[in-house]
Amino acid sequence: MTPRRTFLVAALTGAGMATLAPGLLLIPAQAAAGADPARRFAILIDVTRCSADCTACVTACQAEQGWGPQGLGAADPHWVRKVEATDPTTGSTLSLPVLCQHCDNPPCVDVCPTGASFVRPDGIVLVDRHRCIGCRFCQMACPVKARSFVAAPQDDQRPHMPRGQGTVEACTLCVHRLDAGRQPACVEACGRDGGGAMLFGDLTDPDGPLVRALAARAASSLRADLGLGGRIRYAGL
Amino acid sequence: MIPVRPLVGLLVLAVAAPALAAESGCLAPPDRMRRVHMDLLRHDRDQAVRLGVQRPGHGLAACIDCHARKDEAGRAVPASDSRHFCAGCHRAAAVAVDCFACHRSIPAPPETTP
Ligand code: SF4
Repeated sequence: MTPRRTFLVAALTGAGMATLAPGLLLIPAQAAAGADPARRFAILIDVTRCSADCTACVTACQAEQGWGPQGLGAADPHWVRKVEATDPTTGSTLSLPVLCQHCDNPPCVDVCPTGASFVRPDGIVLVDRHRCIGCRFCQMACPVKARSFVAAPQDDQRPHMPRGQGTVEACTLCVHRLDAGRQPACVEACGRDGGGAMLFGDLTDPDGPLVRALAARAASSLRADLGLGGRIRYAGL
Repeated sequence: MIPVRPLVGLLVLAVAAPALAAESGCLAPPDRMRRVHMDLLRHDRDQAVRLGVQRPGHGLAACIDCHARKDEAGRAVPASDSRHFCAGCHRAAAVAVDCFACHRSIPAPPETTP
């Protein structure tokens, strides 16, 4: 019987690989499979359909990703939170969900000293907890306070969302669902149990419902003045 | 910003990426797994988290699903228990397993798996 290693080396070198040293192979990275650099996912939130007493998106995110209040007050995790905004001149109020804006130029990534904050090839901004040292620079840099710090030990995590004390976290745009061709949990819940205020789609699909909706209606990023290119767009602000 | 995008299409240095061994479902025979499991996990985790390349059966969750050890009541024991699969060697060698600060050390109930 051919020893396993000999067999592997023979099989792999045949497939365009080179042996560098015993046990070390240079393998061409497989293209395809994985985050598609041609996609640009985004969410349009119609604030006029979002009511102050609805928290369907928050509840769905907690159930999907396994986070929730731990009695830590302001230090509690908040991947998505409902924010009430009041116009001081008229007193009129708005209620809107605030989550990671998945900026094109994310300040969290700029300040991260370890490379833990990063942009996936498809533009989704994530924390690689394997590299996060919990310095919280990104938390301070985020203009919408989207990131939170895991301050207490965790157990019973979701299998697709490992999370532990000492790391920073935020909305992942449900990458595990997107990679399986599904919508983010908040968008699904808003349509099912909420006001139907959220529309998910791909900005690079000119005929898709998201691009058509954005063409029909004025929508802007939360802090458009900062020029960060946030991909959570709000209509009716 | 860390240039993640240029990594795609570049050459990646890796230990031989094995296919699932037909007989056990493991990535390699036990003697090899004992020596290189950490390298295999590290390689696949970077691919999965940073590039979104998911290879079924190559993640830590798949290892946990098969290797779970049960207590007398038939419940899977967590990594803090000396009967846990990883604890066998890691305790003797005094090597802390950081994985389980974030990852589950027992199989997930089916309804939480998307
Ligand atoms: S807390 Fe983690 S992700 Fe945030 S800047 Fe520090 S190392 Fe980077």
